[in-house]
Formats: sequence, structure tokens, C-alpha cells
Amino acid sequence: MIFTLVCCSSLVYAQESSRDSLQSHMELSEFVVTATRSNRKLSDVPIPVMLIGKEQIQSSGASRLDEILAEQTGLTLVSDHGVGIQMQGMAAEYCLILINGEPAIGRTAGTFDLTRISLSNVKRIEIIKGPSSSLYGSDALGGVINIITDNSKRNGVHLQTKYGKYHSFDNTLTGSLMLNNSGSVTLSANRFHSDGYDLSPETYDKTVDPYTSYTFRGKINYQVTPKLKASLSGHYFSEKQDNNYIAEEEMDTSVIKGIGKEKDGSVNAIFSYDFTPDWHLKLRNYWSQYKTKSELFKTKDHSAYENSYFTQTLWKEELQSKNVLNTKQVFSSGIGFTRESVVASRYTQKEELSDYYLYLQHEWHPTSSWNILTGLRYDYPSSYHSQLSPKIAAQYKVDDHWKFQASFGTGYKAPALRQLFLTFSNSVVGYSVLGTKVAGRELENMKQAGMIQQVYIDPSKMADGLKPESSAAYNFGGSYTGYSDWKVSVNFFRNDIKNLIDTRIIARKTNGQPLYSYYNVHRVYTEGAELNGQISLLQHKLTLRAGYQFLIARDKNVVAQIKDGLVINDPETGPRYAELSDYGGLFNRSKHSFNVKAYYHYHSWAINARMTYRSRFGFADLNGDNILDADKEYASGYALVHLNAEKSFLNNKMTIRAGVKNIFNYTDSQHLSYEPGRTWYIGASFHLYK
Amino acid sequence: MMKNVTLSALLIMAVIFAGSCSKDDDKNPSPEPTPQTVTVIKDLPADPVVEDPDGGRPSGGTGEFTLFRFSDSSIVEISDSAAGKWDIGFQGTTVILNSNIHGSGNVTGQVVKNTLFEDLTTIPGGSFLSDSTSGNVFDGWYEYNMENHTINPNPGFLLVIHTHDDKYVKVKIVSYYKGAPEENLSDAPSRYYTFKYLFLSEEKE
Repeated sequence: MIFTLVCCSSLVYAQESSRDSLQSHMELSEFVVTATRSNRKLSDVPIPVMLIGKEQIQSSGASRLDEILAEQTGLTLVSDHGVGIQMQGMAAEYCLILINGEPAIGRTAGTFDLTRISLSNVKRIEIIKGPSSSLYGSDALGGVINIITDNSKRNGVHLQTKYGKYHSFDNTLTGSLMLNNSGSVTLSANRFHSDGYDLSPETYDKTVDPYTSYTFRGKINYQVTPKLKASLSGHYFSEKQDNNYIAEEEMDTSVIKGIGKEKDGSVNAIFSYDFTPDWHLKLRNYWSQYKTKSELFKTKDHSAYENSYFTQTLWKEELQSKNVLNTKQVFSSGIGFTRESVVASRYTQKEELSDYYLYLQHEWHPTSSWNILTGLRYDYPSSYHSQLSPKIAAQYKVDDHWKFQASFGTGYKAPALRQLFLTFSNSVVGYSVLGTKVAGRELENMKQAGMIQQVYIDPSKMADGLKPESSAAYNFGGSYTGYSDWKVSVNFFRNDIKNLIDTRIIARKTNGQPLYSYYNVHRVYTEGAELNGQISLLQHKLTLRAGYQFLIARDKNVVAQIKDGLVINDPETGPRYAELSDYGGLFNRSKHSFNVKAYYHYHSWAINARMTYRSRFGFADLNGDNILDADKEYASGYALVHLNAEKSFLNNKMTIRAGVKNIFNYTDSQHLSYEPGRTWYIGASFHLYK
Repeated sequence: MMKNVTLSALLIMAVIFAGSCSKDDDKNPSPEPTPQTVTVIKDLPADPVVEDPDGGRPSGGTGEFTLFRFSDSSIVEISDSAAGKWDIGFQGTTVILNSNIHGSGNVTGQVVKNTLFEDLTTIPGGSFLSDSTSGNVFDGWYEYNMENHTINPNPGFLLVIHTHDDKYVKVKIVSYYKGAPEENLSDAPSRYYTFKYLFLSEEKE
């Protein structure tokens, strides 16, 4: 997997390095921080990591995070209350999103909407595949994506503008200022607008309504004394979307309009102190808030349709220590806490969660060819069982060409706030959903109000609470780096996940509708292989990259039932016993996915063509047997092809770009609401540094 | 609860046909095979929601159960419910048995999972239970599809019932929608049960 990163490292390195630095220029200056929380050479990290550099981001024409992730091997976009990413077949809610190493908050139904993150001044994106709860705690179950923003070391300004189909308009201004060799300030502002698009013009609703967002990011670094360094960074994001759709309620239809607002912000203060050249302390103070508010009304009489709000706040304090024990060993540790609160229209009161934690990590190079990484984290949360998350990884470099690595780790995801505290009744259908922590109290209230017909599961029996969803994962792989600038790598993975949370009926209401709460039930696994390759041709003018992922993702309960004699509704023969081969696995997983990219560079010109493909994937059970089996339950596979061209002027101070995304205009309004079809853009960037 | 039970004398079509369902006939020729007749009940109303033809708000269900007796494939009037000569009741997705909290009878049932209807040929060895305050015996007969909001009978879920007249019957619920359509369930009126059943011989497994 290491070379995955290599493959993803920007072609600029490949183009500019000369042959004598071969071993390899591909890895030369690639560093990664997310894997160990310290800067490490990418080629030395013994776990699957992928890097996306600034050049790759810019040459793709991507504006938001989802667009660039969609082009990476083994990453698949999924849409559920926002656009998320599936990694190694794990659903979007199991991927932790970090910005400069700190957790980004604000998920809806488990999905962190990646379209919220502007790529405007992102320096690089680091992707760790497989669980990393040994360093990051909850949510790092399937993987971690860390977005690292730019922090220029020069005085200057950078202006970037882009205009495209659907009046998408993306403008960024970044400025940086050095403070007498002892510090720097970087500020960036981005405005993004899109008119949205409509994949099903025959309906009133647009697929995506028009929206406008602003992103501000800032960072100050200051060397206070030779030993003490301080940094202060923060961001503010605000988006407004104009809702306009038809709602059906009780045979009545009305046009609903109104504005949905989404905001988030963060402040991050870090103090680093070097006691000795070998002992470093870091105090990290982080605060973040995420808010949504929507006020919807019926256009015919201007009566309120829905007013809802959601505010989540996170406060995190952490003290990190790093000891370089000797030339072969580094020991790191950390202690901290997080405090999280939420106030929302679907929660009866303000709810709070806290977590105290400790982690330890040991990096060991017993010989020049071995690298062994061990880690352990203990979490003591306020509202569920404590967690111990180990990780061990090893890398062996056989020679300059061959390299092997293997790792084992565990991950967990704490029960989500909604699973603990939700108090929701559907006003149209009439069912209700209660979080496990409030189920007892709310059920008693509903009983008093005469709303309960029969109780099936006593909430006091759920007092033990929800267990975190947890996984154990194995990764094993190797890579070969050839002399003539080519490299291939493979990684095999297996994730076993248990205690996945689902809803179940705990009582029936007097209106006949169910009352749901949550419980730990599912056990699933995902396994597969990832293959990556890269080659440079024509004196590094042409770089080709390709990646492929094979994936199997199944519900273990279904597999057990099939052995037991699960009956399915065969569309041709009627009910019959299922074979394992009938079972298509978890929904929304493609067995095969691959990408091919070609980058060509000549003088001040650069062009590229990128293609991504995913095979068919299940979307719903349609024949009533509750598993993915019939052909009609699959959405068809598809390929997207993107082209991009750019030319630099004035000693690379200015660049003009143009591109077409999805040139064959593939759309699927039912299953791919986030794919707008063929779009084009033109853009320019200009920078002035001294 | 049974006070609420009323019955509309709705038409039930009982389609009776003979089928040779015993696969093992060749291997174990029994001198006098039990007659194998599967009864299919189509569109048994279970407190359906009444649509307003003028497109107004549909009138909701009454909350009343439809009671059924297997011995003569008939709906039992509410006025007769006290006599205890019914076996099973349907209201919405709720399926009840005539005993304990739901009736004066002694009807019990058990669930057999992951089995095709024709493959269950003897009375299963498990215990026969009554509905209780902690749940009904047959609560798990369907799955709710969150995608299209439909009720789907679990294909391998069989209901085995020890009836009020001391017989054993196996039951498979086929559909919850009028006409038992195979597709576009959400377009069909719900709360209409289609099910098939067959009496089992007394030999235990």
C-alpha cells in the first residue's frame, strides 16, 4: 500500500527528478503525518497510506473534497444525507475526517458531507486505510482522511478562480505573511456557488437546489522562544441552500420553500515545547461547533412546514509527548479528553458526552530493513463501555526493490448521539424512534399520555446500553519498485465488524405504528485486494497510473442463515433455498472498481485524462426476501471519464486551466444523485511571492 | 381486547387444490399417504385503510381484528369469538393467537425459520407458545423495507399452529397487499393477507 501513496504522489516529482536520484524520486519528499502523528517518510510507514498532493488536486479541476476522493483507488462515493466515502467496503460513517489532525464534526445520519470541505488551500490529503482507533479513538474504524491546509513559507498572494456549468463559480484568495523569521500568517477565503442541477426534469423537485458557501481558513505560527512554538489556526464555513420541493402529506400536496443554513467553525491552538532535542511536548486545544437550521414553509398559505435546528459542540484537550529513545526507537504518548454536546429539535434536552483517553505508541527499527510499529489506546467514555484499541504493524524491506508489510488493528465507533438521545415522531406516518438512553423516560411519558398499546421490550432491559460498533482488521501487502521508474503494489485486507447498530421495534403505539429504538445486532465483514501501479515514460513526460480494488462485503448473519436454509424469492422459480452465490452481499458495494490516469507534460503545457469505473452494486431488496439477490436489485456499473488541460505563463506565476468532467454524460438519477453528468469548467490561478 | 373484534362478512376465496407435495414418496412409500391439500386464502382483510374515491383523506383502520378458523376456512364473527372457536387473528401487521392475553381458547404456535413450505412435513419438535405481554409468537413474520416502505413476508418463515380443535397446521403468509402483487407493492392497498396452509399429520418429528 505504500506505493499507493507513491502512485498518488504528484507527477511533478516524477517529472522533475533526474534518473540518478532514481531510488526513488517517486518517494523522495513524500511525508505523512496521520499514520503515527509525527512526520514520517511515506515509504517507512508500515500501514496502508495514500497521499494526494496539491498538484493532483489542481490538475483534476476538483473544487470540493468528494470530487478528488472519488478518483482514488478503493474509494467510492456514497450518498446518504450527504456525500460520504466508502473505504475498503466500510460505510461512510466509519471513516474519520480530520482537518489538520483534529476531528471534523457534523454528521447527518452518520454521513459527514464531504461537499462541505473546500479544496481551496489544501496542501495535501492523507488517507489511512484500515482502523486507526489506536491513535484517534472513536470513528476511525474503516479509515482516516486527514486534510492538511497550506501554510506558506513566503510572503505573497494567490488568487484562483473557476467558472463552469450550472453557474458553478469558485473563487479563492490566499495571502501569507512572514513575521521576522519567527513566524508566519496564512489567511484564505473561498466563495463557492452552484445553481444545482436536475437529473429528473419531469418532476418538480431539483436533484440539487442552488447553494452558496463561504470558507475562511487561517493559521498563525510563531516561534516564541527557541524551544517554544505556538500555532493558532481556525476555520469558518457557512452555506445557504434554497429549498424548493413538493411534499405529500395525507393526500395533500404542497410546494415547500425555505432556506437551509449550515455552519461550522473551529479554533485550534497548539503549543510545542522541546525540553531536549529528544523530548518534545505538545499541548493541543481544540474547539469546534457545527450548526444547521432550516425554516421551511408552505407556499400556498405561508404556514410553517418544518422548523428544525441542530447544534453540536466539541471541546478537546490533549497533551502529547514524543521521546526519541535512541536511533532505533521513538516512543510517543498522549493523554486527553473530549467533551461533546448537542442541542437539537429532535432531542428533548441538551445532551452531553465525554471521553477520557490515553494512548501509547512505539516505533522501532531493529535493523535497517525492519520497521515495527505498535500502539495502544484506552478510552473511558461517559456513556458506554471503555475501549482498548491495539495496533501492530511491521514492514520489511528486502532490498531496494521489494518491500512487504503487514498490520493488525482494531477500531470502534461510539454509539452516535441520535442512537442514544433521539426523540422523534414522524408526523405523516406516525411511527416514533427513541434513543436508548431516553427510551425509558420517553416511553413512560407516552404511556401516561395513552399512546402505547403494547410494550415488547422493557427499556430497563436496555439499561446496559449500546455497545460501540467495533472492528478487527488485517492488512498484508507488498510492493516492487523497478529501475525504470515503475512500481506496483498490492494490499490484501479483511475487516470483521461486530455490534453494528440497527433499529428494532420495542413497542406498538395505539395508532398501530411501531416505536423503534436501537440495538447491537449485525456482524459483517469486508475483504478484498487493492492493486496499484505507476510508470513514467518519455523522460518523465508521460505518467500512467492505474488502480484496482476487488471487494466482498457480506452480512455474517445472512451467511449463517444461508447455511441454515435461508429461503429467497427467485424471480423465475419462486421460493427456494439460497446458495451463497445468490447473495450479493451488502448494498451499495461494487465487486470491481478501477481507475486509469494518464498525465502528459510538455514545456508549459500539461494535459491529463482520468477514468474511473465501478461494477454494478445493489441498491435495495425488491423481491421481499430482505437480501440482495435478484438482478433487478442492482444498479448498473458505470465509467466516468474526465479530461483536463492547463498552460502556465510568466514563469509559472499564472496558470490557465480548462476541463470536462464525465464527458460521456453518464447519469443515474435514482442511484447517483451526486453525479451531475457532463460538466465543463475554465479557470485561472495567479500567484505572486517574494 | 376481543370486545373490539367485529367481522365484516367479506368474500374469501378459498382456492383448494390438490398437490403432491411429499418429495419422499418414492423413498418411503407409506401405505396410506395423508391427503395433501393446500388451502390458499386470498386477500383476507385485516382492518384495511379505506381510500376516499374523491382523493380526500383516507379513513383510518378501526383497530379491529379479523378472526380466522382453519378447520372450515372461515372468518369467525366477533359475536362468536367468546366461544373460542377461532385460531388466528389479523389486524395491520399484528398476528395473534386465540389464547392467553388474546383469547379464551388454547391455540398455540411456533415459528419454523429458513424452511420452504413444502419441506415441513411433520410437526416440529419445538415448544408451542401463546402470545404474551412480551410479544406475540408470530411477530417476526415480516421485514419492513426502509427503501420503499413496504411489508415483506419473510420467505422462509413458517407459522405452525396447534388449533382450537387440536389439529396442527402449517401456514405461510404470502403477501400483505391486495392481489398479492410481485412488484410495486406500495401502489397496492395494504392489510390484505394472502396465505396458504396445510394440516400436518400427528407424527412428531
